[in-house]
Amino acid sequence: MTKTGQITTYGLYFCLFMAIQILIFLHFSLFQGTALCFVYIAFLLILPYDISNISLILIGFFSGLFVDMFYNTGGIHAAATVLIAFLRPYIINTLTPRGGYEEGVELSVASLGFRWFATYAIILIFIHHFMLFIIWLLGFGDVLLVLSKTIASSVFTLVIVLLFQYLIFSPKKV
Amino acid sequence: MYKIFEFFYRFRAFLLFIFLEILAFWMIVTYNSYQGTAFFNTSSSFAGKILATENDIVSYFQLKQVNKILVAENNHLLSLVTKLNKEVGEPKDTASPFLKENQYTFITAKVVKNSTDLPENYLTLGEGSLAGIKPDMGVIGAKGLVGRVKTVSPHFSTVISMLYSGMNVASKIKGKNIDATVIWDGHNPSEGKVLHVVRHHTIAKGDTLVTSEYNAVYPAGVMIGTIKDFYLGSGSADYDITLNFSTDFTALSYVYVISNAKKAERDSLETALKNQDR
Repeated sequence: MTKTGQITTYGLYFCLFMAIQILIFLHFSLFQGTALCFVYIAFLLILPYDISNISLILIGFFSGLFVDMFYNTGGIHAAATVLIAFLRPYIINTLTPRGGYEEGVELSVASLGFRWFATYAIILIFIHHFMLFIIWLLGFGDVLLVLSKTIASSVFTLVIVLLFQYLIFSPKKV
Repeated sequence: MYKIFEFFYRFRAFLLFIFLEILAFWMIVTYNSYQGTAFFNTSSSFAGKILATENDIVSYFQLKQVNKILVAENNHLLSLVTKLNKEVGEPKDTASPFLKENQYTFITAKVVKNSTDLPENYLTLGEGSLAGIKPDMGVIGAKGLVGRVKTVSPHFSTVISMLYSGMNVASKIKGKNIDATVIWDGHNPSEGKVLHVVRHHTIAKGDTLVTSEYNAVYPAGVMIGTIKDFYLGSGSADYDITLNFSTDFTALSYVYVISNAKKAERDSLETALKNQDR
């Protein structure tokens, strides 16, 4: 894929995930707000393997800020997305499959398998949600509330992120 | 010198990460303490317009329900007017000028966006400073208290809902003159908590909580909710009270923003007192 082609593709992914976040999941939750879905971080998960750490962190910051604008959260989402954008390369390194990654590999279920992607996604989703709810719920001083919301929402987000993996990426051509 | 540059280059990702985290936290702190106009929220024209357009489309499908709510509200107000007329008698032109003066005026606004399931809930209203809305004005619905205006732009405003961690409303138990504070504990969007009711008072299930005179944001007597359940621990000084909000926060379509003509006067007096104490 050419550089411009790649930027266009990921630009479209950004619009897609943000539209879904704002038009659907901003208004929708399970169990009276216990499980919220932040599917927009799927965009940060699927950014190219070889993206520079600097661009990744900057993209993380601005996508978080974009979501903050609609949730009236000031900078809480930005704080959480910057954290996972910073940690992403380390998580990818830790999860290196036997034989290493291929050059320019696509970070998806289709190319790295369900088990790899699910592990990768749940680690980053959990870190993001934990950070998010700690700051967001600070005013209540309720540890159980933070934990229950983090766990329920992580599962919810993971399911939706995996669902989109099957909707967007075509299966590996052999 | 070269070593320093090398150091910065080597740890540039980490330094950027630290810098942006500090920036994010600074934004969170200023956002939460700042009243007035803010750019990165739903009263900004960008986010406001997107949400208003979305609301325009979705509200077509809710027209029937909204009509029902408005009719019920009219009905309730009409019965209230008749009842009050009976109590007070017909208004006379010769009445005292103090009674004629209207301290509170109401600005009707459409709810463009509302949430009840987030840790901190806001409403976005389709009216802003051009309609006369200012930060810190009280917001009520047909059935009672809704929230307080946080930020305004010319065409939109954001309102801190009662379902918000920092929200506490000075209130009293109607008919018993017991002062209390109403808060939300983050669990259930239809239930709140009542604080500071000491154990020597007698309260009952179904007692009504209204805003008290100690409130600068709302007029006294605005309905908040009724006591659902209460509990008195053997060692505690205060009751643990659960409250049913009278407002159904999940079904708000129109709200009324309260403009208090005497708020500035009261505020300046209270600040003057505060300054004197120092």
